[in-house]
Amino acid sequence: MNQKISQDFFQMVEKMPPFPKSAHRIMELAADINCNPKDLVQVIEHDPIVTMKLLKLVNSAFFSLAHEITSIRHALVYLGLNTVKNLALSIATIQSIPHKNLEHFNTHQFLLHALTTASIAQRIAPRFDPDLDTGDAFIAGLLHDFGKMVFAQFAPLEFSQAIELSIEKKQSLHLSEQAVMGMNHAEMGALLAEKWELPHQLIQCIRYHHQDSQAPLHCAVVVANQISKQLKFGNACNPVIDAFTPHIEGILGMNLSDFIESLDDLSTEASKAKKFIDI
Amino acid sequence: MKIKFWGVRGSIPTPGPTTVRYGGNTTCIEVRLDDDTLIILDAGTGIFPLAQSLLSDFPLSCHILNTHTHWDHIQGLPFFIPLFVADNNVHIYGAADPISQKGIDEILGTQLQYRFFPIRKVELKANIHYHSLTESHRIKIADATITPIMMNHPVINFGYRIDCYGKSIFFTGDHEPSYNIYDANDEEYSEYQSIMDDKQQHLIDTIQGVDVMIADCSYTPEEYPSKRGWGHGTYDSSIELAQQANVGKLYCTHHEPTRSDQALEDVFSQAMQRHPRQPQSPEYFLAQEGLEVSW
Ligand SMILES: [Zn+2]
Ligand SMILES: [Zn+2]
Repeated sequence: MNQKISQDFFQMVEKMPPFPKSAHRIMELAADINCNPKDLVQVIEHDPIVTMKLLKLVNSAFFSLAHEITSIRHALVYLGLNTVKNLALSIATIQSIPHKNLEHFNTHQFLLHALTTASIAQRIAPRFDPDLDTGDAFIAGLLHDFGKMVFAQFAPLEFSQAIELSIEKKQSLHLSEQAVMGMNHAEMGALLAEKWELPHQLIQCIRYHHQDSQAPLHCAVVVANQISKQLKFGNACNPVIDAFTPHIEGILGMNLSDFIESLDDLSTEASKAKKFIDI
Repeated sequence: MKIKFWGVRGSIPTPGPTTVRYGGNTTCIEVRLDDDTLIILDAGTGIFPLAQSLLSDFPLSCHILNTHTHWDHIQGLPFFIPLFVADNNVHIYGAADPISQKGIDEILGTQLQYRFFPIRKVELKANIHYHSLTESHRIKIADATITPIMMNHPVINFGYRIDCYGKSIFFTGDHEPSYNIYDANDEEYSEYQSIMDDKQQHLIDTIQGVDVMIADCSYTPEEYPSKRGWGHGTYDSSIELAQQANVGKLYCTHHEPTRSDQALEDVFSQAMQRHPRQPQSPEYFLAQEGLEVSW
């Protein structure tokens, strides 16, 4: 284990850019069923990038509204509070991912993995609990691998050693990270999420996404992660695809490949994710 | 044109002795064009008895317009028998989900296969055609023109206007009139109000002059304040809209699930007292399971 690195983990987390304030506030407002719509409008309007992207999206062919939407208030009247809230949250969270490429690490491929995991998790979430908020599943899927961003940024050499070790030994990346650095991306991501003061269940979901759990949100992310890797949507830098645990196989009543087989149109996930990155 | 109400209840089915007259099934309305083309508005539990009435018409072709994907508007779909019989053609129309960017095929297709009970795709023997709709595109079903319009509900909800051979009908789905999120003394108040007024005018223009309007009248004005933001209208908001759009007949539906037949008639007659009919005003009715209207 590299002692120097392990001592620096907390400093690494400290050096990461803050979670966008707007995403944070929107997440808080989204969790509050009595949220005042005025506050939501204000938070979004104060983030020019989220505002611009939201307007671009609602005026896109996907919506094809009869009227052009020219402001956040306008969007609220035409689309309703809930839709605007969910759009803003997705856009703001995606904003939080750095877009520039790092050495040994292809950010675009990483983003594709994160986004397809997010959207698959959202899609399959009802299989684990019909009442699960699918927006939560989306965010959890999106952020599950954020620890890798920290490694790529602050320990690029050790991180690429871990990736090579995984390929060589055909072992899961988090085990190689543990061997090389004494820390894995799940734990690292959880530390970052704690610093970002994200909701507790989200932190837990990130911390344990390579372990078994009964929590429906957790199961959705674990399964979506394997599907995204299996179908090679983007690149998670992890050569190992885990089979379903008995718990998950019990709920779904089938194994990973049969489950993938049973989901239609998975191939469109990657192209949709690309669209979202490009808004 | 002919309509028949198969489900008029909001949110959850309410069978039982206190609802036998108006009925306990959730939203489903049969629309027959003059050439007998079958259009079905929403697939609440009322679609199950409707399906029973169609067995002798197989193989059939029909068109289901889904206003939105809340449970009470789709829960009858896996019990819609025509889906399981070969050679039937079932067209399903609805809004795509803007958050996940999924079309109606993915939303309802996934629901059909997994959410209800293990129906395998191979068991859906009918030819099922999904059509994702957007607001600015009218579509044709047989000789009818369908105009979708974005209403106000926690999820995307399309109201549908159907025009055919000079006759017309409009169904709101679930709809709560927008309210101003600002206080009267906030500086943003008047700008927000004018955006709302534009949207309302667009709605009135779209509905203008329909023969029949079927509208979400879940609440009384007394009940509404504690339910604001839940996405449903009142008798009074629907009556006002019907008047502004000069509709012929208004059928109040999406009855509040805890309301008994007697309570329903009571709140309706109170609404009628608040809005006495003027010579040009629409005729008002309570939607009732089994009720047929043709013109
Ligand atoms: Zn409803
Ligand atoms: Zn609804």
